[in-house]
Amino acid sequence: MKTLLKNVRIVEGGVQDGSLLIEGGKIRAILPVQTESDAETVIDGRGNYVSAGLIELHSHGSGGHDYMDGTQEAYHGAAEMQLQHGVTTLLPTTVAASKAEYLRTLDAFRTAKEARKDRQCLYGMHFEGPFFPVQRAGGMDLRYISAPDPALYEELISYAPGCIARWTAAPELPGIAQFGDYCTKHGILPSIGHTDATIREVRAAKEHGFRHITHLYSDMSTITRESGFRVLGVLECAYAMDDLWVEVITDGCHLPSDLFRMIYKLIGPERLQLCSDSIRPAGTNETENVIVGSLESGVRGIIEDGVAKFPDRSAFYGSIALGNDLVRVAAKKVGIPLPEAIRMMTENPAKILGIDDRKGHIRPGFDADLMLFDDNIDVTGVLYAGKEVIG
Amino acid sequence: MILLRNVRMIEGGDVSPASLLMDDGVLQAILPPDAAAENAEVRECNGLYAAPGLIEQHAHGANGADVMDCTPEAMDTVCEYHLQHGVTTFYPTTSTDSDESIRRVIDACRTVSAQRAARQNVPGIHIEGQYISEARNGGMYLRYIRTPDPAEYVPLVAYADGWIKRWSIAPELPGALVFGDYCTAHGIVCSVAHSDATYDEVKTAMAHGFRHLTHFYSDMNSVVRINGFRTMGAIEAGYDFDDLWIEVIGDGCHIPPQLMQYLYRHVGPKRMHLVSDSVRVAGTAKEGEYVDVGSRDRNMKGIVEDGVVKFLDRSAFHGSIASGIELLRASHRKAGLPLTECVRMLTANPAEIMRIDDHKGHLKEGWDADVVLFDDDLNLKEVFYRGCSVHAEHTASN
Repeated sequence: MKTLLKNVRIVEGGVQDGSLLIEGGKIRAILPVQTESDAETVIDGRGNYVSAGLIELHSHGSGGHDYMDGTQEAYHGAAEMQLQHGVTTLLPTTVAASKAEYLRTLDAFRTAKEARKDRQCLYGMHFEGPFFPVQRAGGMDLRYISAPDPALYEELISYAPGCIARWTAAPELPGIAQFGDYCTKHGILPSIGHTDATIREVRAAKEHGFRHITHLYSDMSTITRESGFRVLGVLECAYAMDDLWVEVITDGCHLPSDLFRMIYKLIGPERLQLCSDSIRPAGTNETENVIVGSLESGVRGIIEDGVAKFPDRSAFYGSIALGNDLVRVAAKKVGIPLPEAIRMMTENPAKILGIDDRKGHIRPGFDADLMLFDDNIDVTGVLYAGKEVIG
Repeated sequence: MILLRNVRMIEGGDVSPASLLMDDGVLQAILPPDAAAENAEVRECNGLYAAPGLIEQHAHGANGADVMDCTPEAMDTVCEYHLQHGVTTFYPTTSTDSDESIRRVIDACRTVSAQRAARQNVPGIHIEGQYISEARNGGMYLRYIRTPDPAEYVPLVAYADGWIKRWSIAPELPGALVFGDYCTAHGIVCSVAHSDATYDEVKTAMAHGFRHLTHFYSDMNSVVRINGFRTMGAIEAGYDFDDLWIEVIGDGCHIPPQLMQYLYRHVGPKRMHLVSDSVRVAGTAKEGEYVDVGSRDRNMKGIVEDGVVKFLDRSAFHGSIASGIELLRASHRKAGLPLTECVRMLTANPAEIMRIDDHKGHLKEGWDADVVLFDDDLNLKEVFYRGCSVHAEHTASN
């Protein structure tokens, strides 16, 4: 079956008017605006933008749900809310929790992944923690924070083969080399995060597969002094090392616009990846309270100024922004060109996951995962594998 | 008339074989390496590097003397030490002190500048302090830290009559913006120093003449969180604002090689310049020795360790023991920055900052014949000031 998505402004590298011919779930051709076609289905884009579907590598929940709730209701509810915001490929993300909760969420993930396979790609889970130093736990439950524990991570990885796609850990902890090697061997992307590492430990971690930095500026070391001498931290490594990907929370709160603009100027769109780090209340009308983690054992925070804060307001738990909101912040608030903002949430995360041969671009042969949006960067439609899933 | 024959001239980012004809204090001609000149004294340089004389605008002391000793003798000692390391233009730098002491330093500078007129250019002083953040004092004398008061600085600027060339202060202090306007109108270069200023405060200060960050990374803010939200500091301003000069202590210790490479990449040689921030014990310090820092009357100690003067608790540094050519060596050989750009950061850039680049800081025909000669290992061989040899290697070990 062929579908023609006509009359759209295609955001891919630049912006060009055109139409897309879709067949067998793939983009077949990029055609002129006025196109005659024998397609069975014709969707009129009405001059809206279309980009590749967004790829979200770091999101804990939304729509009133947290993936740690571990239920199908939570997975479908949160993932559907993401889909409404243009996210067609998603890494549900954990917080530090008990082994029982980890196993429960892995079970739920596996079931939801299958159930949603015609609607959205739940590519794999992102384990954020629990292998962090306590002082960088970022508000997570300290009972579960530890150095890399082979008994735990080997069990989790073998419990649900192929279900974990990314794992954020602190590279200064003992056992990290073994952990990095083990993840890499099992196709899991190790990320550097929640860390007090110096450049020495970052360099060492790179030898064991770490190529990615989790949420720049949040819970990471900057310059420290050793016997008076300045030593670079993870923050400086993000700026300095061209072979590291850098994730930035783009909710407009975690990083002020001037800082985001500076990051963009110094690091550039080639190495940046946008994420929401969204939590339960994202996409809902909840304006006061939040439980981060599962309903039973999560920690409590407050919503204020458009972001989820620690009760003492010293730092943030996560964002309440989703998908297209991030593109809007980058393009409208920070002033990054729209195609580059899109790139940082499509092409770049696809490259990070190693799926850029089929996702992250509007190109013939690529999966027809598409986000349609208007001038205000509000989503007007979403296609997944060529099928209209939000219209 | 002297012909420096067969040098590798470093100028404008290039190294080119040349001979330099100097006469009447000025670089008269840039000639081919095999040039001959009638009536000129010929110096065979055999391929030594020739760079413009180095320009140092932030140095407190050396060889047992400190500018805050407030005597011409002490200042002369500091000047001469730096000259012997290739510095042909030197701005003696104060620490935070009383108005009276600063006036004595100004007096000393008038005297020393005249005394040294045939040896070195001492155009005026750099005042580092009084108007700085207490929280960011960096070992400065807390007793003399205060806010900018026109009742004090207006008479002082008048008294100095042009001998104050640069002033480093904290722009977030009350009255600092008015101070900035006043200094700028009086030809004084204003720098942000010892400051808790935010990015936005630096931006505001830039509209009041502050175009320069003193010893980048030392005693200034990076990102801080206010009510959870991140606020950028002076460090981010330094990276972000293309019209801000960045001063870097180039001793290889304050900014270690990795950070230097980082700065070079993200700020770049167009906006950076190198200084020593040298203290009294430069030239005399012995590793492991406890030394006096700052004014004599202050009874404050530091320790010399790892080639730098540290606080006794080793939490930070009081200043460097490096000078001139040593900054070039640390930046080029230790941090691996290109030699031509290291030279630029010690010559053309400081000349531009101090607005003397119409006659200093370059090897160009018509510019002052201030020249340093050094070998491949960056050993200083000879220093010329306005065409005359003022220091040569064989006298250096006296």
